Amino acid sequence: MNSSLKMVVVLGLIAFISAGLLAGVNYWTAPIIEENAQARLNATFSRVIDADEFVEPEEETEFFLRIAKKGGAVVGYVVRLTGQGYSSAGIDILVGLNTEAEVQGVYIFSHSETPGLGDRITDPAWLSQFKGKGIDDPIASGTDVDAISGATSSSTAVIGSVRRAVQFVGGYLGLIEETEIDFAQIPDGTYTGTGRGFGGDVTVEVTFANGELTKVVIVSHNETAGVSDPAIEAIPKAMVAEQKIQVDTVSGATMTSEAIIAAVKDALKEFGGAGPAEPIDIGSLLPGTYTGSAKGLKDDITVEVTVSGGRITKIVVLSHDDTPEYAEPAFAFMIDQIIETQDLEEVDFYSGATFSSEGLLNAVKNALRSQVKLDISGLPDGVYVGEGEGFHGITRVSFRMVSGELKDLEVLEHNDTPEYANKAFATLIPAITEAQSLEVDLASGATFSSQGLLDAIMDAIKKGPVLDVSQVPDGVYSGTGEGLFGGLQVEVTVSGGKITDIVVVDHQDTPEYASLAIDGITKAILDTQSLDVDVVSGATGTSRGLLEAIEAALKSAVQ
Amino acid sequence: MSILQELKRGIFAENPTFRLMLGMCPTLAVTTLAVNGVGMGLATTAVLLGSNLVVSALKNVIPNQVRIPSFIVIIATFVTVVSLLLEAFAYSLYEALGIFLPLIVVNCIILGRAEAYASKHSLGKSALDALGIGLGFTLSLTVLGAIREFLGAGTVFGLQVLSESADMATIFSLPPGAFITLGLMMALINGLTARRGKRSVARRNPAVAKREG
Repeated sequence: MNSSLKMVVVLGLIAFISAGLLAGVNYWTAPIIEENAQARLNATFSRVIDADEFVEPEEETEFFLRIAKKGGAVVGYVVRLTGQGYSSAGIDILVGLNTEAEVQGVYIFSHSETPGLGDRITDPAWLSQFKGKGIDDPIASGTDVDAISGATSSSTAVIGSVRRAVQFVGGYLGLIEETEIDFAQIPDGTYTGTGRGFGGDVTVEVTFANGELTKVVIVSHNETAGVSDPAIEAIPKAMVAEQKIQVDTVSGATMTSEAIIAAVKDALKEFGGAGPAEPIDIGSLLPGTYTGSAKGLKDDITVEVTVSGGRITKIVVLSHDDTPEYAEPAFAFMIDQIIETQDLEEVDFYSGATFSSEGLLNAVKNALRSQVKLDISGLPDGVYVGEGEGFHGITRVSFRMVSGELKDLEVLEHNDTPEYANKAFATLIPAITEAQSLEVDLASGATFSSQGLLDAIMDAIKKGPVLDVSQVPDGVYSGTGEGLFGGLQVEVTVSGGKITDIVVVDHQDTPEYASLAIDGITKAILDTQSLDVDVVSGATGTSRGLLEAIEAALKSAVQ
Repeated sequence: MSILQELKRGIFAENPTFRLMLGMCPTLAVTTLAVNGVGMGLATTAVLLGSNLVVSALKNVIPNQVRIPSFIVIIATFVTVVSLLLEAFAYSLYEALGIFLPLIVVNCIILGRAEAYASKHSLGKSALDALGIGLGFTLSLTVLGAIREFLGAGTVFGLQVLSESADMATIFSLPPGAFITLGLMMALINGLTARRGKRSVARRNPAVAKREG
């Protein structure tokens, strides 16, 4: 035989026989491997809900869903979804829920978060805080669940995923009712909204006249031509004809149909049906006096709430109609509690006067949801420092308030192109000082730099005046903060208007890193007599906790 | 050479790990636990036995020019078979061996034995060679794994030897520990061999010794 032909034939034969053998082995082992994989997956599912069988639902669902059964009876559901944490890879999360859509267990299936920081999301103690949360709970960090300090991005992603899982199963079980929007209350006009479709955002314009939906126009979309056409054609017509938003989707173009429905809902979201209101972030409120009312036991309770430096400092009941002997102790109790905890979500009611208590709480919430006009002249005296985002990075400003007058406004630091930014600052700073208001025209040609400056001033106002050590009476003050791994306690000695000593009494952090932070921060503060010092890199968690503790100590001195 | 001698040759004189210095990559990577060493060694032995037998049987059929691709196809087939069997019947071992299981394909011990031995010897001798070398490899990996497991975790074959609270040298469970242990073992064996002065370097198969993986 020709030698090169022999080469080809022999190698070919060997490959052929190998392929046959492999096919055979694969045929034999594939079902066993599949079964094992299923068993392992079920074992993982069992971590989040006590069940022995996990069945795929018949219909298509938004997220990966398995129906958990025990002894043949449905006991709950397992949802698998991905949260976007710090790493771009995403966090793969399993959430087990019972038939009431209450969380039974949360398990981090896989993640690529930073070891030592983000990977603390796998801590079972932290994950156990979700147990029992249901569709009526906000499941938001800082309200009913806690993020992990130092791993905010990772833990917030998990919290968001759990919330989505609860809402999803709640919707799947029909526990969350879609409230149809009352068209009669919608003023005449055209409203715009967007929804996410197959190819991107779908934008709609919705027109109302005399309390009736008269027109739905799809302004722009990026859906597949041909496939999505029936939905684009039929859904707006159906909405107008049936005078409702939740119309039947067009089969074959479900995603586009749902996108149009979502876009219309988005356009009308201010008229209700948008779900529970967002919790109030007290820290981001403008300083000033807010007024609001809510129903108490009999009639409206009206309150005036004073916010300063991102804190509720005063609550006054302006009027109420409840029985004074019951209501007044309740009001006093609630007001003390709110000012003490600065928390509007986890609040205890005064026993025996629940309605008055709840009415007061709702009045405070309503007040804080109202808009307040920034009144610069009402700001307390002191030095203010704040940060805003300019064109290329952070813009830092400082100014002083002296007897209600804003003075000495200056840019401490910015990263914008000097020739534009300096022009913007040169125009804006005198304008703001002159007008004593932030409602000034932005410098044309440098809108981003201008906006950065205004944002920085706003941030400074929200934060309140920075601590002026020279105003602190002599003494030793103690304060606590949250370090990387736990509470941290300091004692700050002030003498002759100066910080003379800082002693860390107790902390839980790793000694070798913590001492870096403690030495660095202590020295920097003693040198500069200011809390506006840089954190020590490599020991950020401890640094932040330490600064928090020192600030708390000095604040306790002033109050 | 008797059967016993043939087997002993692979374990001592031509021990792939300590004498031939072949297959260092899986040796260093999987020997964190004794049981992983046994698993990797046996998986390699199975592949080695299969490939040696087939190569020896086909030694007169395979043309010289395509012998390397042929050997590789044969080895790859056996590796895939072993890998599928492990995945189906010994999943925890399959997971522990990880990427090093498919990488048995490029383990130079196997191609080395096919090229240097099986393609020149009879079926029976090739099988004995595969078993001897395979056992030598398994034994070396097991010893390395046991030492590293003991020093790094205080256990041997998963059994608690030292008290659980003992402060162990975790470095031995980590990659640097593999190099340290292997280096010390090799020094010990070379030292013992030199003292006994029985086995000379010349007895090593030079063709194989040069094929470093």
